[in-house]
Amino acid sequence: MHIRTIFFTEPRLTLAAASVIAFSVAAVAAAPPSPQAGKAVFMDSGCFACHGEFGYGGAGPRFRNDKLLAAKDYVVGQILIGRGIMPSFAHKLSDDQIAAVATYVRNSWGNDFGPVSASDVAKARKSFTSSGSVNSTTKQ
Amino acid sequence: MTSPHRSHAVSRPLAGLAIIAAGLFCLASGAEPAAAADDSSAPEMGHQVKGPQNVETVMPGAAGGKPETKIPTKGTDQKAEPEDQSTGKDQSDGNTQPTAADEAQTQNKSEAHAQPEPVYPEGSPLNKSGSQAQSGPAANEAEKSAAAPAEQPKAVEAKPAPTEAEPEGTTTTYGATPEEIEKRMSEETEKPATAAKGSDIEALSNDPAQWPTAAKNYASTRYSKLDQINVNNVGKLQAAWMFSLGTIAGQEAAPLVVDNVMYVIGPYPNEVFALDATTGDLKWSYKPKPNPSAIGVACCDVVTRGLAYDHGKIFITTLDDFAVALDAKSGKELWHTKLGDINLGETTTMAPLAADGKIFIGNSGGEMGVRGWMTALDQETGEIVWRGYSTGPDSEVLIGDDFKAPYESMKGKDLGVKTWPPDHWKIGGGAPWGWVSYDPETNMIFYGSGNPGPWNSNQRPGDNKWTTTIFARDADTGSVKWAYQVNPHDLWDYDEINENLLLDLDIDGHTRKTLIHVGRNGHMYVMDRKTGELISAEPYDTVTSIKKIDLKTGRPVLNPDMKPDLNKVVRNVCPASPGAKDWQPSAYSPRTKLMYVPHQHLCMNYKTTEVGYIAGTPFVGAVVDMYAGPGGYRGEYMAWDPVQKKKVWAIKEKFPVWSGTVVTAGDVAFYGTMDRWLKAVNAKTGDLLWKFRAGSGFIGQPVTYKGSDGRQYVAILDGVGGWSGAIAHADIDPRARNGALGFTGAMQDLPAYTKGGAELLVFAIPKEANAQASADHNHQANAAQ
Amino acid sequence: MSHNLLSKALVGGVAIGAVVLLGAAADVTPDDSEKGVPPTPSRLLDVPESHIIPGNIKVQPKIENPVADDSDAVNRGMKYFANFNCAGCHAANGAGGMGPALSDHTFKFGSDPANIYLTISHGRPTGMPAWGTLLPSNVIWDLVAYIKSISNAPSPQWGKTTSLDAFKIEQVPAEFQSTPTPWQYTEPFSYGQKPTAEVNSGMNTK
Repeated sequence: MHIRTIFFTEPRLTLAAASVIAFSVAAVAAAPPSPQAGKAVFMDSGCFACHGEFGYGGAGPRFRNDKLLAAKDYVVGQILIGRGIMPSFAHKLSDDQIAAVATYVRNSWGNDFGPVSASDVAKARKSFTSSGSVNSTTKQ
Repeated sequence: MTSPHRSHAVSRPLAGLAIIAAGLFCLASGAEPAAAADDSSAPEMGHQVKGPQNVETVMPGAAGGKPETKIPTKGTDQKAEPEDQSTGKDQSDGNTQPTAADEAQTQNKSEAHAQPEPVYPEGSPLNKSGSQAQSGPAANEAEKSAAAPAEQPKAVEAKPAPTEAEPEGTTTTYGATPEEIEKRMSEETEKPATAAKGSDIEALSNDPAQWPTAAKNYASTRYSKLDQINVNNVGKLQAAWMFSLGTIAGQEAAPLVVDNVMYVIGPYPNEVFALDATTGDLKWSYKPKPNPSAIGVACCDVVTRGLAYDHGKIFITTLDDFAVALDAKSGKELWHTKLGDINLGETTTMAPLAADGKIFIGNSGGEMGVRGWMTALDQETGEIVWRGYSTGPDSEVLIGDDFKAPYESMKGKDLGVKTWPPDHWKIGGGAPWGWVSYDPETNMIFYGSGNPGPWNSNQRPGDNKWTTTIFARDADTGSVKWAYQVNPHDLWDYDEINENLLLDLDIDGHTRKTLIHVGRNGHMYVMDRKTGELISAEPYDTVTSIKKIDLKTGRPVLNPDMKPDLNKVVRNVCPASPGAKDWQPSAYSPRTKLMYVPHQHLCMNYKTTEVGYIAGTPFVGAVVDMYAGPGGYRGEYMAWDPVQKKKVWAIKEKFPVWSGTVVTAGDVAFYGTMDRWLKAVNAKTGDLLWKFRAGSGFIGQPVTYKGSDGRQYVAILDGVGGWSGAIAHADIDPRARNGALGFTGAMQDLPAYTKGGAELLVFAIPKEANAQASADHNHQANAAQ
Repeated sequence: MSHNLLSKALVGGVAIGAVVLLGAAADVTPDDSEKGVPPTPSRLLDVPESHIIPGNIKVQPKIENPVADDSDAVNRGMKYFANFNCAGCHAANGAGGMGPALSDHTFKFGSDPANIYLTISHGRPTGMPAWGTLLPSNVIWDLVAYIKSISNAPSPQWGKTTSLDAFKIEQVPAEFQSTPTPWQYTEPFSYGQKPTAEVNSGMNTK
């Protein structure tokens, strides 16, 4: 699976995550992303390093009981654009992955703000640029 | 922690570009398998793999389709090595005769304890007969409990020892996984057959010559009936022999003595030694292969508090979470089982307890966001029989229908989840890394769990059950009969893993079956061990953080002025985080009816900060600064009357008294100081009778036994370290007080008194002096056990 | 920043990255003095960790911290030191604990900026985690800058004398102030008793 998982996640979780991601990528699902998919992105993309594996934050803000996460566009925009030390994930993650991790964050640790769909993310990408430079490229 | 939520990204253009460029290739690219083309457009760290061939680097961002391999954190030299690290015996390749061994086992059970003739290879100068292994010795080899120096395959071993080809660190479990255990228990399937029920420990404990378990006996009194050394002659005590363990770090272990063999274990890498207890001759040693990275997740020096013995086996844990069984006669490895994961910050440092055919081991890691557990393994096979967590749902804590809460606030379902913020119990701590006692009458074990994580209590509102809790569990199933949480919503890292003495005491005219728990929070708990109810809980040292223990509710009444609100500096908190007493165990004399308690006298400043959880890294969130308590002294050795609830006498010491203690029928008590003094005092009066200046300070546990020459010996490890003493041997700066989780502030001057050490010291009274002293001493031995 | 500028910046960043990489590959006499630009990975891997160079030949001049002149870098590094739990092992101000002290110019795995960078990035076998799997190089260089700042202990002599008399000063403890230059604030040594100074320098931000 992914490099990072060797260090920081259990093999079992990773395997499940891998299959889930593969599936969710293949099927352009209308169903909300699964928590496992979201958590896998959260860990494998290193979000946990700054936001904490249990949402307690660190270098980045904490997500526990965070009302700001209610604003879906804001969350998706942050992931696409980055800010300060947070990098942009526009070229690193697909619409499905961003939807998954945004859903995960918005519904964990005391938050209950509903899912984010891949089409939400696609829309956001479009709205940020006309030249398409934050469009999803092939997954890396 | 200030949230950059609303801060502005300040970046000059060039730096900004660099940061953005950095961002492109760092903090990972996605979760997909590396399918894309090699994207080397960005200069990523370590990606353009050069470097020595045998270094397998793993670097971020699978931006390229680079092969992913592990960093050899455990060294790349894990080649096939013989499992057997025993020394002193020749390894014969011999003949492999499994079938002969099979039959022979049934035939030769009666020869089980006979010492077989060692067999040496042909051509060896020691091979007098010139012949190879015979079927006789080979058959004896199959009998597990017999010593068999010739190496033959153990054909009848229930579980094969792992082969040498197996690399360290792979998640191989030789016992059942937690899921399997749960499944097994829920389906009520047959548990794996255990060895003969019961243990050797009870019988051995009653023999004054032996010291078969760290606490001397299951009740944990650390009391010896030997009186050959007594108040009249202890002044003549001299060094009889010494042995250097070879590894300098904190030496906390209690040596064991069984049948004139002394067993002792050192700190990481946890080498084990078996010596003739009378002469000091080395019989064998065993060196496991713990992962050096475990050093980085051990909070308080790379210590171990000892090993266990039962049924002819020695049981140890390694720093990196392996439980290992060795044949006590030969040192051969019988099985090893991985219990935890250093990548989650887990280590194992406690002395295991052997009882009821099982071995009981708890994890360490309350400072690393670890979830605490107590695990029972089968002595024969090394399989996990049950595991009870300290947090989480009842089904995993093993709280069932026969659980009786001693107090109202301990009643309810799934309190191990409900008394935490969402999901926080998973990283909640409660590691039971201290002492386990056992009551054979009820077949129950008693132990306490550690602090909740993080130290910043503001992040975990709620009682945080079942951290800092004394558990009474059924030894067979792990089912919790009662649990008493000593420090609900602990504010100060008051782990409650200290020893629990099981004593029948005369209180108010009745004989009570008590459990005495020397609380880290500065209170001496006398409890009913059947129910977990408090009988009394009086302070035994300066306490400012807690006003009193309410015996009706069972809860401490906290001092509201001391509440460590986020980022507020709270001063003069007593006791400091290591408590009025830490793990260093106390003793009880049925003659004097007093407890002998080595402990410290410290207060602290404390400031909480926000902390994020990253697995494998510390999860603390506090800036701590300790110092001497009122009076300026930092340690004390005291005699405490548990029935009268008062201090009877006390000896103040400059540094915390961090060693264990032993008290004897000769009315002598021994303890060691961190500035290198081993002392013998009169158990009745506290008068100093004898002292010895050792090579390094003491944090180990003294034991006493009888040698094959009929003399009484006293043994203890010197070698300062541990949480309190690491400053003496590790790279810690005495001029920066907040080091070592705040302990530096209290121990800044220790390096001027001692460095680290690694010496086993054994003392006895010279033979001539003995004869006279025995006649002088009148006594009546109390058959306390 | 507008989104257009952002996208241009993204492209520009990649371009610069490519230039630096290509430049380094062709470079024989490296000059790392381009401020603000971190050294390339291949340069970092060339940093020897031993002081024994066979043949005793001259090796390349050492790599400097690209943010050595950035006054904000030390403050950022101080934040990261807490955020990534460095303080949990190495303690506030680098006092030491589970991990070794960083307060006194003593670095087991090398004290040059590149050595410290590699220690953080690659980890070390005795328990230092491999942060390079997570942290971008600019974060690590900020940490290196901070560590240089806190390791600046006054050292009147080459070796270290330990005795009750030799202990003269201690830092003002971290619970009273939070500063990237703790050695500027000292008080008399306390010998395990309460700290003597209770200073609130106004820099206490956490």
